[in-house]
Amino acid sequence: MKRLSHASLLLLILLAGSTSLFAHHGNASYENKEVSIKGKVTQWLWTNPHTFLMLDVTGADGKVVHWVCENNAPSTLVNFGFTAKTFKPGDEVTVVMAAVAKNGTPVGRITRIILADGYVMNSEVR
Amino acid sequence: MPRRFVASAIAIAALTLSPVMHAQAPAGAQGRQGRGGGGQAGGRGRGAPVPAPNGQNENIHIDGWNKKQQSLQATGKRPGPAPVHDLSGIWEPVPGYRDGVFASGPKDMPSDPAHEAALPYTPLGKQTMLSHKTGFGTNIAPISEINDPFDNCDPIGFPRILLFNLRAVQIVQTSNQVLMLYQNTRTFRTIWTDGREIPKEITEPRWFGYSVGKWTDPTTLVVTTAGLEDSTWIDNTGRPHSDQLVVEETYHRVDELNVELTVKITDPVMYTQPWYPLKNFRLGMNSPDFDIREMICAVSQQALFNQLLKNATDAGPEKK
Repeated sequence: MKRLSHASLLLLILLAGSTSLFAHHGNASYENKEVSIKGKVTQWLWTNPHTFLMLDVTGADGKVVHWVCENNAPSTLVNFGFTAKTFKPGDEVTVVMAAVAKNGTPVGRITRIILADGYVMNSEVR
Repeated sequence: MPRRFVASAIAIAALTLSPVMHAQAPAGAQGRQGRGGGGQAGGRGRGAPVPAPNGQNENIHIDGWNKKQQSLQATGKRPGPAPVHDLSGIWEPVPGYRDGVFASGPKDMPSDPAHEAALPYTPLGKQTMLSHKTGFGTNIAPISEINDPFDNCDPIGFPRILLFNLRAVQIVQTSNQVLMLYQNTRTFRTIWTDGREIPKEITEPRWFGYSVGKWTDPTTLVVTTAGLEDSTWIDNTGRPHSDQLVVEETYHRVDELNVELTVKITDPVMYTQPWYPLKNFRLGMNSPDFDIREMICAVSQQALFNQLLKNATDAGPEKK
């Protein structure tokens, strides 16, 4: 009985982990890991099926890494205050990602964006 | 020890189930609405930030013209009786407008090991299902291996239009048709209510098939659809169908403000018996001034999306 309940809990955890906030591609190429980066916006792509915030992040060594940060669909983000004009090139933002590419490329999924003045723009509430 | 295990498991499950908890803002951070929009929904400007609970934005719901909206029942309006033979109106899943996203499969047949085991596949159905590499569900695959036809902007088709990203839908009735105008991919279906039957011989399979509707009682419309193009998937998790698929939708107008949708799948080539992806799924009526926003699969945008994310699966730098 105890084994059963443990198994059920594990199943619940696995199922919960397999769900995603995003509606097209799944999680197989990402690992759930919170990563925070601060940089300058190079592009804000207000596109379907998902939006993208492109960011140049300068490391301590002065090297610039270009990040591709996937965000939710426009039809969802509008309900959280995002618009096609929310960001412009040069804006300084902190992007918090809930998942990043397993292969180490600078690609991730946004969970929230902190603007220069401290405002937090979340992408989803569950 | 077992108790500790259970407690830890519950804690992990709770954390996993609540992405919100990962999304808490640092102390002092504040949420806002309508940044950059300046529309009617964005009531707060930069000068008057209001702290949001747990640092989150408030989850407002706005329509295509940036107007804050909610279902009529949520506004406090008491529903009157269901009108006779009438589904007209602008409808959305309730209580949550995103309750019809169904990324991991439709509500009554999500793609998880238990439900997959319960699906009555024929051997060909099972084989076809396993050949589908998906973004979600039991066949989840790395992005570069996904073979979802909708990822190339093929038409979403029917019944996937009901079973993936079912957002707002406007129903328009004429004397001989019921028209369904969908937010997702901004497409429409024609359901003939003039008494005709589905063609006995289908010479041209269609992405949205051939649909006829019959009122079985004053508040229930039963729609039968056949003649479907078989390259589409039934849902977002790769459930297959053949050109023998017949879909039955039952729309029951519960009252003035609510409709319940049940969907029945019958396809003897892929399934040994009928099954139900949705049972009594609730749609609530929106205000008549609700503007359905665009949600279009644009080929160039989709290609860019695929290209950008392909990098996430291509061989990249050594993982540290």
